Amino acid sequence: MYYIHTDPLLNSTTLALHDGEVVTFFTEQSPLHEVYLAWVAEGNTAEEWTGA
Amino acid sequence: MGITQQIGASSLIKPGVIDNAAARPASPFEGQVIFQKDTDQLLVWNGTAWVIPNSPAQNPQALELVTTCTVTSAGGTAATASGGVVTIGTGNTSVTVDNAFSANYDNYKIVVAGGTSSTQDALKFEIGGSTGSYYGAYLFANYTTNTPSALGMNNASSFVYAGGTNIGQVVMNLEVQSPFLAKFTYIQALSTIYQNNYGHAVCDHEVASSYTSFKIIPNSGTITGGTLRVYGYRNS
Repeated sequence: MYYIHTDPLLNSTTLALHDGEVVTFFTEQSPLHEVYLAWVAEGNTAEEWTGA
Repeated sequence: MGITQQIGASSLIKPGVIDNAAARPASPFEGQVIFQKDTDQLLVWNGTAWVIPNSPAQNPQALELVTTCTVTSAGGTAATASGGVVTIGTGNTSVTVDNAFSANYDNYKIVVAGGTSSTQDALKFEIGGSTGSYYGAYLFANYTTNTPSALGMNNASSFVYAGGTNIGQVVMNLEVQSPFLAKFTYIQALSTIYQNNYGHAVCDHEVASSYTSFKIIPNSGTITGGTLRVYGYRNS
């Protein structure tokens, strides 16, 4: 599942893949981004990560 | 023709070659050199004790390869171990190293070099089959953004940011404190690198038990080849 992480200190956002307990931040340069775009094209939307 | 060529070297008396510590010379002279077969050690009498040449101690309290390691693996072809060098198999989904931790050492260094992986992902570390009570943090930056970031581990099922798999390399360089002691184990990951994220991670395993083994597990995909070595910081 993909989430948007917001850094409260820098006020910046990062896309992240949550795979089990491992969270992977990624950018447009990452191979994960293409997979993410395909996921979005299927009608999905990344939600804001609330830490829950 | 030399005498050893006529009767064979193995037939000759071997001065200075002894079987074990009990067979060491009873009244050695300073500078006397022996070879002890059970430990494969060259030793010199320094006037007070038998020590390794150029060392003040018989067993320096230093880093040495742990040669007792054995290995099992899951997925693909089996990993192997010989003389303390573990070679990861082909397409392994996990590699378990047994007989790694002992009373000889309180602290260890574990290094994986070479190898390949099928995905870029985190490489997890599990101690002694324990699947809970891992706490810690991964501090890192993505080199394309320069943004510092952090991720926590709160009662995780393993040290999930112990290393990384990066297609052309399996990356793990751990410092491990007190896994054999019946205390919490503390672990520092010096190179947690995957998906452009570069950083260090620190973890403790909050179970006060003694362990002799550990397992490395790619979070996804498989790992192939490469070597894993366990080094111990000798206690005495």
